[in-house]
Amino acid sequence: MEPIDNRIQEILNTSVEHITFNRQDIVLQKISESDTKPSSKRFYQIIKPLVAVAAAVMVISSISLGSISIVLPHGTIQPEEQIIVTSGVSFAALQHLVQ
Amino acid sequence: MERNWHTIETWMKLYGDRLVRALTIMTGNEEEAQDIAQEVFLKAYHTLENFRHKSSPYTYLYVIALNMVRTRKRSHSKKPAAVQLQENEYPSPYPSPESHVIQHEEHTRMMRAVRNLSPKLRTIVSLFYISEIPIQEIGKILGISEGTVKSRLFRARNQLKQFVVQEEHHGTNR
Repeated sequence: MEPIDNRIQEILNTSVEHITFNRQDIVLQKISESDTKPSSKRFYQIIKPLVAVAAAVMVISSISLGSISIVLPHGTIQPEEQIIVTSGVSFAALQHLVQ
Repeated sequence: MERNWHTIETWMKLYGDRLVRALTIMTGNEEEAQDIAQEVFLKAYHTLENFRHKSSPYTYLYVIALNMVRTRKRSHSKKPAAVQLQENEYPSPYPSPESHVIQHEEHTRMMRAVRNLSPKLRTIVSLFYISEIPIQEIGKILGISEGTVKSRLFRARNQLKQFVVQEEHHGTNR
């Protein structure tokens, strides 16, 4: 540090030394509030993403199974149909293609 | 959770004042600095698991604060201009005696000089002079090279030096 730095630091520090952090109680209160959230709220926070994932898995599975069930009655699966089945084309679109 | 609670309580005692002072220099507004510091400690509590002890707790808090200041600046820039900072925003740290009046004037002028700096230079000033963080670490915090830190510090120092020289000139004339 240069001498001028010490002088600047000295003036700056005395200019702000009266400032103190006065929100400790508010912070601790907010922390307590966030920690004592109703258990039902927490339950929904955890369960919501699980339900969303389960729903997504069900939709994807039903599309795939639907596609397979449409294609299988033909007997042998043609190469282009295999592509359709594995690419997860929607049930309606697949039905249209088969007809 | 109990452990985190005590950690934040200790950090507030140890670093709260320094952080809010640095933020006052950075933002030019004590009330805003208090708001940000409050949010910083709350965020630190909820993200304490991310603290890897690679830096000091103060640096960790300062980085959170810096991001908050940037986010606020971005959201404020989309809104109409905020209230202009007033000279008397820094209340006198001294009681009324005359001997302190001159010193108070000096501090008010110093704060004005700091407010005249660009936000980047104010950040450097708050990191170097108030937070007393070494130049190398300042570079890491801000994601800039040591040379850039030195160059910004040089510019800030030059602008504040003019103030100090003027003050000392005033002092000899009094």
